Amino acid sequence: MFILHPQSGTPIYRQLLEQVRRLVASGRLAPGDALPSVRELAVEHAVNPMTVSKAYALLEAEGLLERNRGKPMTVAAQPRAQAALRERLRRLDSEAEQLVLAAKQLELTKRDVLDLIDKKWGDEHAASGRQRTGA
Amino acid sequence: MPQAVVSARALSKSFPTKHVLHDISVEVEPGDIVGVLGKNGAGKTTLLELLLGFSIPTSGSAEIFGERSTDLSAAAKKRIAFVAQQDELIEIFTGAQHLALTAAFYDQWDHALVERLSREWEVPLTRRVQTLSVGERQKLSLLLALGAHPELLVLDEPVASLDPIARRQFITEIVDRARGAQSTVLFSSHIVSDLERAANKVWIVKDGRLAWAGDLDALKESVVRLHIHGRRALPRDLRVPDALTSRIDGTRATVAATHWTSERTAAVAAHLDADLEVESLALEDIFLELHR
Amino acid sequence: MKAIARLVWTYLTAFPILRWVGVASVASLPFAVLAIWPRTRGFIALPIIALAMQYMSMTIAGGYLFRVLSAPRSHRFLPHFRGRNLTAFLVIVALVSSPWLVLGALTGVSQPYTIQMVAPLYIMTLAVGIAFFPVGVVVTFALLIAVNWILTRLASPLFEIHPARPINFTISIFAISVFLLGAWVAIWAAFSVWYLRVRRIEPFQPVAMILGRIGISPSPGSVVFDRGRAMAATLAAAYPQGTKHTSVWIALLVIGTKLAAGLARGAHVPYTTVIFVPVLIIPGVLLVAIASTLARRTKSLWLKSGLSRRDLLAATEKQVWRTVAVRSLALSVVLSTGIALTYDVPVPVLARALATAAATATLAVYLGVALVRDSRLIEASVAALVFASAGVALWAVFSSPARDDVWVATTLSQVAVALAFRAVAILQWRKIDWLVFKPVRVSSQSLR
Repeated sequence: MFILHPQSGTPIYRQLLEQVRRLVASGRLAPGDALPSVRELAVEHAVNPMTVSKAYALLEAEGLLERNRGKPMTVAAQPRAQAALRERLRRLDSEAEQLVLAAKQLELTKRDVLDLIDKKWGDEHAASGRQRTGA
Repeated sequence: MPQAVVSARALSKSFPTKHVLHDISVEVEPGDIVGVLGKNGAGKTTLLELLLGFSIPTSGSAEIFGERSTDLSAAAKKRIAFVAQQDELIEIFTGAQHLALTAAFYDQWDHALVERLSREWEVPLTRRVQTLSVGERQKLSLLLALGAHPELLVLDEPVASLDPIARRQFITEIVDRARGAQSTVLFSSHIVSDLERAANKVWIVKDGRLAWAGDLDALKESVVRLHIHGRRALPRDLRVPDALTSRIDGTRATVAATHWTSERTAAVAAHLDADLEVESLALEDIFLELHR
Repeated sequence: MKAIARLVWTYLTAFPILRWVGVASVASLPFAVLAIWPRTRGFIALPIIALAMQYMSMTIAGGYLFRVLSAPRSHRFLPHFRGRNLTAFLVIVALVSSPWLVLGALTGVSQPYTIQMVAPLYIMTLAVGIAFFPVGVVVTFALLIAVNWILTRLASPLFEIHPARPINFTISIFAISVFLLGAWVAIWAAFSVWYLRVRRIEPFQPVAMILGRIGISPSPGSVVFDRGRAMAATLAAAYPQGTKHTSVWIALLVIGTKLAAGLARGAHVPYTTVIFVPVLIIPGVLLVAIASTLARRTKSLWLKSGLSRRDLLAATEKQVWRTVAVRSLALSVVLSTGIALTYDVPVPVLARALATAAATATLAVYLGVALVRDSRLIEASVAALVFASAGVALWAVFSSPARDDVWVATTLSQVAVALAFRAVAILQWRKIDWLVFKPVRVSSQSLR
């Protein structure tokens, strides 16, 4: 289910966090689905179980997972996607950073990038709108 | 706050010819798996053996389970197992005899575990130790330690001579044993990839001092490599907070730094009027940067 | 040159027992000087003993070391290693055998005993043979002992009955010695050719090899230990490897005693002084070496046994007395009684000698156990102390008239010093540092 790279600069727990979030967001992990237990995951990937618990605990705090006494963690029935806007935006943080960086390396302006985003979003009018108001 | 399993306070050790450890203060919490990294001669073995009471510190103290290391009670020692860097096996004994020998010292020897592991790890038990290969001897030494089910397991380069399969088997076993506060592991190794998997805390011993003693995750998040691309040529005396090393070449620079935060990224970028790419590093690279 | 010197030094100091014995023999050389004057001929016994000890231990250890140093594959990449190792070993043979020749010349050994001069060279050759070709040589060795025993039992009565033989007999003895020397050179030439050219020399596993050839695979032995036996077994790993080596020791000791007897006879010194050899070597130097090595072994008991440093000292002390000291004293008694019977030593003299042996053993045990600093200087001084005290006591016993006052004083002070060192041991063990005081390994590190 997960692909972990212990030798990466990103701590293992973070990798797990990202992957669980993505799996839930994409629907591959549906509400009620059980996740591997801490021990199973630790042994399968030969990683410290504390790392796995840390990730699971954070996901539980986020509202993404819920704990069932005596049974493995499951995806929360209502992944409180009413999670604050900030929370959801946080998930796009690294992608946004990479986009901005790449754009700067390519010496594009902010306007260019926003146009691109609009195009991707499928909203051509907003792009031309910005052009007119000089934003 | 649970009592620390191992604690060192201002631990120092010097020999007539050289001063090996300076003022080391550190703690190991129950359930930790601590990886000890360091160059050859940095003092790893000395530190581990001092913590276990094999040697009297020149100053400072070390405690295990709340007792002074040099005066551990029999009850405390029963809960500890140690695998030394150079095996202490008896040449003319077979593996089976060694296991029987060690089992005689412990009340709670896990025969089933040892039997399973000796099968999985392919450790020959009916041949004399002098006929075993280095890897087999190391595996046997590990078996002798694991069979005692110690609360504290201390290992000095336990897998240096094992092939990747054997190392993975060992790490899996360590990780499997880690059931909360019942099992604490302290091991030193050159093989950084093993540490990265199994350890939650890391100690980096450099020139007899602890360059880092804390969370592995925090270490990875703290030490970064900055790739700076300035719009103008960068100043020769480029100053980045908590920088470890820096290389400047015209408008580009590569700087390794610690205690990094995202606020600093923005601040430095603004200050230098440059673009900053922050690269997080693998443990091996962190180690190398700390030693440049 | 430097490499050869380094190798020679390694041979002389690789094991603690070699260091101690080497110092003792060097310390006894002044007595050899005294022996030039006829009145002090009695002193010749001391250097004879020292050199016998040196010779014994070098023979056993030297052959073993020669093999051990030849085995590692990495040594093939050291420039001219084989040649240098061979040269160093021959230097050792010369170093260790030549004092016999010098002493022989000094004391004017009479003609029939020139063969015995050649014997040291052959014994070392034997040791090397055992190290390199254990199966073949063990058989030959057994045969040699049998032949030697038969000859001495049958031949010496013959010689003693007819001490004055025609001159041509004397010449042929000389010719035999020359022939034996020549044969020795030939053996070594052949061996050198083989040694320098053979590709691979396996690590030394005598037991496995011998048993393998005979067709027996090593049995697992006992797999049941209780706590007490487990402690003893862990410490016992420090003993010279098993009974196989012990029997070699004993055989060489017997031959060494014969050698010393021959030399003493040739030097017109009473045979009784030869009792020095078993009475001094075994309880003296050997016990210090073993006691100290046992102390090093306690490192692996620190955690397992749960004992405090003080209790580990007690356990080591008990182990040394119960096993090693008892066995060595028994061996001492047996050998010296045998010699006493053969050479008609009066019982009171034998009794005093054995009392000294016991006192020397006590001294050796506590000195060895108190030696917990990894210091060569201290080791050397201890060896000299044990050796000197026992030497003086035995000289007092065997000189005529017997110097009882000296003997009593020396023997009692040995015991007193032993007890004092017991107290020292208790203090020293409080601070025993296993980081430095570890079990000794012979490794190629010592070659750098």
